[in-house]
Amino acid sequence: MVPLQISPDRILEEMRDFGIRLNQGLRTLGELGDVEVGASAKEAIYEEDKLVLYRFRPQAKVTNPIPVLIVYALVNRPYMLDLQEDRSIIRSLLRGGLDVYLIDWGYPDSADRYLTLNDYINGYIDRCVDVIRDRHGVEAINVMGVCQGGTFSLCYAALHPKKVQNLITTVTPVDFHAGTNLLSQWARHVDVDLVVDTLGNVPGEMLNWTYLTLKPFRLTGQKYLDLVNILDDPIQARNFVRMEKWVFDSPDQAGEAFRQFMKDFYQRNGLIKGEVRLGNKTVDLGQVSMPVLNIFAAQDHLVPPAASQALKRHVGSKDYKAIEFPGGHIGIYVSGKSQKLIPPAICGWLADRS
Amino acid sequence: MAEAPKTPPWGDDWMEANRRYWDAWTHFGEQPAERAAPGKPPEPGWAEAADRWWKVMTPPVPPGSRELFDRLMEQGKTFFRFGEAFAASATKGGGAFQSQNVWQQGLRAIAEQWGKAPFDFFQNQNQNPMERFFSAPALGFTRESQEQGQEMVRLTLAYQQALQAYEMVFQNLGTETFSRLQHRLGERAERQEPVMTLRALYDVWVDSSEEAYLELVSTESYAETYGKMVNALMALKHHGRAVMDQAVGAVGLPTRDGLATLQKRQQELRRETVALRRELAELRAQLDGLKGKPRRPATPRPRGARKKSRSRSKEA
Repeated sequence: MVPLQISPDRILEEMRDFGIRLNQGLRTLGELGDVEVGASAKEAIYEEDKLVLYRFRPQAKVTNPIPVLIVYALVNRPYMLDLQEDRSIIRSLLRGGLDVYLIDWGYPDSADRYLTLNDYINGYIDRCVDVIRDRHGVEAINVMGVCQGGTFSLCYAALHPKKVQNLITTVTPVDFHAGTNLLSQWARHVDVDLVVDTLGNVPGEMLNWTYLTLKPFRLTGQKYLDLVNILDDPIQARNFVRMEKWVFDSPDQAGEAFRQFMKDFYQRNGLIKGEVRLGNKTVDLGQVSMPVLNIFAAQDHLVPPAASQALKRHVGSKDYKAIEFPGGHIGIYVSGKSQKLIPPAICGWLADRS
Repeated sequence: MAEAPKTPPWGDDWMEANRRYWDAWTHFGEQPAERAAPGKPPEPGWAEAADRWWKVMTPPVPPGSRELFDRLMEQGKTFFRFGEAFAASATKGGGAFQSQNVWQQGLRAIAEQWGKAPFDFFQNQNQNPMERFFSAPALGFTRESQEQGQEMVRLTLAYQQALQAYEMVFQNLGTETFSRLQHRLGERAERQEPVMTLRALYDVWVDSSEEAYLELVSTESYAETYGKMVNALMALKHHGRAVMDQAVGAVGLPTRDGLATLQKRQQELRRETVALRRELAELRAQLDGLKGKPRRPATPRPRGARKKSRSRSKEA
């Protein structure tokens, strides 16, 4: 059988249709105007430098007395967790009876170049945790880390175990050399000291370019052709633009924190070896003694499942549970499937431990 | 770029004009194959036609959407070029892909046209963000020392070599993609699932390309070549900045190094301030305890906390 059954007439017809759809699609995009992100009401309760700690307004009766602090990554922006009404992990957590707080790191500039990981983890995160503990009059709170924020949360929980009641990590790298981890492989021969000494802060756009090169044909080509097919629907178009806005909204990385994260975590794989030092203390995952829920994505191309699954072998907790989400690194937060699976799993797991 | 009007002029007249444009162009392309030069797509090519259309017919784009418009349009043109390369071989083969020889020619046409695509992608990326971030600045307005100039030349050459080696990694990507494309199409033929549309073929091509690309960039040798390229670029940029700093310092202006020292000291001072503030709070709390007062929290005071709430926030 001939595998291609496409006639020149058919190609011509397809091209004409494509041109017209592209045409219509550009019109739709032009008429969309600004897209809004952030679906849930929130208030700033603590600010320090560029950091803002938000508390989301409850959307149901708060049934879990222990508040949850979400620690987002330094890469990209946290509104991905609350992108729009029907794609908001935060909204679902609120409706599940949780009291939700979120750290927004802001956009570091050159004055933030010398912020270290110690400043972020033992400084900013610790102070946010204290603020929440005081507000609620509790000794320990629940902490949920997202991607790199999950790694930070692990470090924090290991160094301050009495302040963390339960720990949830989502798509979190732990063993940075496990699985097919292209980012880790590519970083191994890069002279990170030279990069930071030269650039100071590392441009977010550069990191974004690196992420796109993980799947260049899909992420810089096919994705936009797919867009042409959905642009006749303004709702889908708006959803796409919202997501696109998030993808390219990449803060610069504070130079010193980037240097340590790349060298100690990506290059030396120090977290699982107990070789990461923050201030005058060494991070020992064995000190993570509170219950741990580790959620990873089966098709994650940024943090391979094996990199997250390794956590089980290294934490000291006797109450460890892992959940595999059937999707990718971003889909775990924004897909329709994730809205049905992830928040109920988190709320239920926390309810059993409160 | 012309300033965007408040209301985009995407009226029905504009849409109708666009439809007529594409109809006319399609009609032009439908002329009998024998009237077209053998093996060549009709003139102007689809991608070129799209380009002209974009320049002539497209009204001003809202400023916030410009980048997305450009990305979408660029991929649209890419798809047109894809179709062009494939249609040319079909025309050459008498109008359809009825023999293995003809459809393989079609795939080869795509491979020739598209084997360069990932290479171009990287080249473009190097010239776009990377050069923007890393390219060496001008040497400054004072005369550099001979050593500095020689070092700059050496580093420039080293970077060019590293970049060339990096680009060479991708030279066989087109061939590898072609081989995978053939294999995937062969599998579909066995399953009696022929490819019926150009878009479906494009999707198979993307799958094949990603597979070939992943195999290539997963290797240790790629990681080494990539590292050498980035390091060479950094070394060049670093030297350029040092030279610039020297020139700027020579005329009494603040230097980058000087600013970095200030930033570092400022950060150290802030750490000390935070630690002292915490210590003070703890001491006060202990004092309150001794005096029998209610214990105050030994946590940081929210400074400048905003009380406003937002039902929907617009992120910057």
